[in-house]
Amino acid sequence: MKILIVDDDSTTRKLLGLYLRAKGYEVAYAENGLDGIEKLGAENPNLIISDLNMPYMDGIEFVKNIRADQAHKEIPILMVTTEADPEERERALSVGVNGYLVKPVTAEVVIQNIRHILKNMFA
Amino acid sequence: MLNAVLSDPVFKQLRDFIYEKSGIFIADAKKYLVEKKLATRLQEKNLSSYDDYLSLLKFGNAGDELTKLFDAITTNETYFFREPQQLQVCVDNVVPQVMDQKKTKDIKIWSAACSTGEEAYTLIMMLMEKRICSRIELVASDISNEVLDSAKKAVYGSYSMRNVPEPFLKKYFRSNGWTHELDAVVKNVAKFMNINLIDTGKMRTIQGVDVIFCRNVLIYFDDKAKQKAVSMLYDSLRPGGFLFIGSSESLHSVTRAFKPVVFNKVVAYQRV
Amino acid sequence: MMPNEELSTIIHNLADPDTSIRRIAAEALSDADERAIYPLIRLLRDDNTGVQDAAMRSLVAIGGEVTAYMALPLLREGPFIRNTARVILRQIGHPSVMLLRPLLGDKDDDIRNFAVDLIADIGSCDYADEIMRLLETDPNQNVRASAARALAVLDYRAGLSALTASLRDNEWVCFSSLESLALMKDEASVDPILALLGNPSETIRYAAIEALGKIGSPRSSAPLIARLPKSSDIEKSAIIRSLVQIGITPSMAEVADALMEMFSKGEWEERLVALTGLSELKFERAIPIILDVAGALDPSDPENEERLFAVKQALLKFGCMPALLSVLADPGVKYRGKVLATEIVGELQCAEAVPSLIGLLSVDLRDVRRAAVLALANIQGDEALAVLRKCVDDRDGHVRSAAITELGRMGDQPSAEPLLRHINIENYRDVLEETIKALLRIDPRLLFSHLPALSSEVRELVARYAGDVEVLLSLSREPDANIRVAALTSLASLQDERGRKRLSEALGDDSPEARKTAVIALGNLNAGVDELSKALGDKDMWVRLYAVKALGESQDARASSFVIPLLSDAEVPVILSAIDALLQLGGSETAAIGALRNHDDEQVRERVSQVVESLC
Repeated sequence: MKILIVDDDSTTRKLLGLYLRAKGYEVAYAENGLDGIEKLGAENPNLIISDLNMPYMDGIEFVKNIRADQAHKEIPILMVTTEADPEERERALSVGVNGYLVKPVTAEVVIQNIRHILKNMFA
Repeated sequence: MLNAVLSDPVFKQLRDFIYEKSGIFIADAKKYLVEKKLATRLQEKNLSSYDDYLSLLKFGNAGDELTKLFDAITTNETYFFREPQQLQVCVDNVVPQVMDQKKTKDIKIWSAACSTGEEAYTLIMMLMEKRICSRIELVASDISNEVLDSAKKAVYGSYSMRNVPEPFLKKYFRSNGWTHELDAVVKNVAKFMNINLIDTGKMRTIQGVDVIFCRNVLIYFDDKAKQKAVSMLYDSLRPGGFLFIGSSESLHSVTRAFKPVVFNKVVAYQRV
Repeated sequence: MMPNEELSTIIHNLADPDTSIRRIAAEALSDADERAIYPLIRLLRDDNTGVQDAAMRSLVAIGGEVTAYMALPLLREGPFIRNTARVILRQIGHPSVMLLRPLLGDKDDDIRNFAVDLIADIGSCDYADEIMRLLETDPNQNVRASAARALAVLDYRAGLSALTASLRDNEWVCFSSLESLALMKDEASVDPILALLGNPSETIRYAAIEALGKIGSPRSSAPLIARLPKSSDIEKSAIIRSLVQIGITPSMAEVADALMEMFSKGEWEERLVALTGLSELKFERAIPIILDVAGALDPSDPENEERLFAVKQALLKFGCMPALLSVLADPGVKYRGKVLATEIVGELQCAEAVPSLIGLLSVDLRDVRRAAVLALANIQGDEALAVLRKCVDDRDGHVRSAAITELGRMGDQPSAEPLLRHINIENYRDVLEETIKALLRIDPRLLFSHLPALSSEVRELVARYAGDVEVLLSLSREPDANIRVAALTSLASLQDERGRKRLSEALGDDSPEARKTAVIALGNLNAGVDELSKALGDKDMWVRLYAVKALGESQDARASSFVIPLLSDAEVPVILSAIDALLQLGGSETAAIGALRNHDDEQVRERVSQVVESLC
């Protein structure tokens, strides 16, 4: 199982990466939405964890792009961001994210959410 | 006997001068490289110090010595069929898509930073083999006159040839012991020009291009020069056209103007 | 300042239906002033990414506090606008920093977070103590974590104790603080970090292990080694990396395997650490993989230069192992890897490699052939030398050149006569050059005695490279100007009174190139003002220019009066050089320079206004 982590903050990428690798997931990284689109094609992940606030292409635009792309529109996306505002959450869900977590997050919560999303996909 | 030493202050002035004129940024750690590469220039011009050389650059009629300077500091090694996956995507996916969109069978390609021409000629040969274009226009440019002259001659040694598939070798080259000359039918398609990637005036002369290749040269630029060059490459593209950069390079923290499109794991940047 | 009319037209085009026109208009505004800021900010909301991008770039180009001030409120808007504002503020840089300060107290958590991150990314701030206070007291964990990062990026040493204290904060903040302490490399933080090696969270343990490696204190090695048996695979890998960084690579079997894994699969940062470890252990099995990876590196990428250097240094530590030698004869090895192996074998002087190296002399690729010659030269010994001497007549110019250079460097006496004979048959100038240089090292008398019979090309090269004053003086009087110039240039670098006198004479030489060489040389030899000024009336522009330059560097107040008339020279470069020289000499020449304010030539006018501005 491969997960693509898209976040402009290197500390967050590292931290989330560690959470996932400890549970046996393979991890790939991208720095913002544009990088995410490039890596999507090359890495073919099973799930994406994406930040919201990123330069050059933010999380919302990124998700919109993916949902509009025939090849990848079904891919599950978990948004992990500092934005706690319920309106931001609504907007994210409306463009198609499958889950929305507010930082800081623990390893348990992230893994639980990933499992939940993947389970629902195959349900 | 030359024993000139490149002092830090003179290096900085040279470095700034080179940056201003070409966008190429030379890090502090590379000072010894500049010293080595320019030693020959000093000898040729019978100068005994780098400071005198700087005077020549600053006060001379820029043109001539400047081009020799660029020749000296750029690494010009390249070869045919370099990064074949990208070339394949261009020929199999991008060119057909662009021609389809334009509703014509002619294509205009720009090999920016073409060095000795291998990339340009590779594209021409591949498109000729593919037989999908009725007209191929290929512009190839670099800042070094020396490599451009070499490109026009189109005679290559074993380094450049190391990736050339057998059928191409037989069909488009004439071998002469250790060198290989490209067939005129390919040579004549390419037009070579001296263009500096951060020279706004020169860059603007290239317009309406369908595909641009700018591989392994932006790595020499700092962020600011990169942004400037990439912005002008965008301007030179037709809407719907594509830009290819080196496979280890990326534009994701340089600009949002382009849309990254992935074909077979190869990323191409589209002007939408 | 852009004229109103021009500005209005461009702003009007910002609303054109054609995206190309909007983009060109946006780009044009990069030269505008503050009046363009608001229209550009509005344009950020354009549909087209090319237009948005141009608007961003122009706002950055205009820069300054006003732009930053107007971009700040955008931080509170929707995702695209606020993140674009972050890019703009960051690229504007320093002018943004003072404006970000009040945001550190904003009631919106994300705004405080953005502000801290921006300050860190811009890299300078004179209120870092306020950021430290955020680390200690901000109610939001993300802000505290960002503050921890910022303190390290700003290298705020006074923040070290706050960082150490924050190790007791929750996981998110602690992780960030550990990364920061790793960057700041403070010995005092080692103990509190060691205490975290037993933390229940694997992520914290991992970050602690990494930090200890980066800080590099030997005190950490025993506790780290003690943790190995209890650690997960991920931790184990980190422990080994850290131990290597500290300088202690335990010679346990699992360590070598872990390092190999790290080298084959890791990113370059990890690879470099693995390389150090593998070379410390002299783990022979790693050699083919190392060469393979290094061989795949594209040397035209500037980043790879350091990597190749690191690989080479590591391989040198291995010594002349069979695995290294067998690479030379292996046809499957990529040529760059082979060249590297050849270089290393030469530097280590592996005598056992000589037969393989001889084999490489006839291989298809030039770089390999050349590297083989150099390696043989390094190894020396009878067999190698015999081969090198034969290479003087090799059909490949590169091999000839490399061999000749090395024989010269070695001062190989038996090569003297063969090299002399070779001069007459060598076709390539660069190889000829090497031949002459080599002879000059091995037996200059031999070469000099045959000089009259040799071609003028050869005599010019001798003039360029010889160090014998008598011979140079003689060559400096030859009818061929090129030879004279080369000889004069050489005399210039020798501290000899006869040479100096000859240079002085050469100010009257027929050839302008020779006169130029003379004047440059005399300038570098600190010739007197009177002598140098003789060249000011020369009919060649370059001679005058370099004379002026030399006078400028003379630090002699009298020089100014000689230079001033050159401000009216017919050639622009000479005038520009005269301006520079006068500035160097100091004194009160502004009047003379200022008088050129209305000169015909644009370059002169520009330079004059620059000078006048800076002096006022």
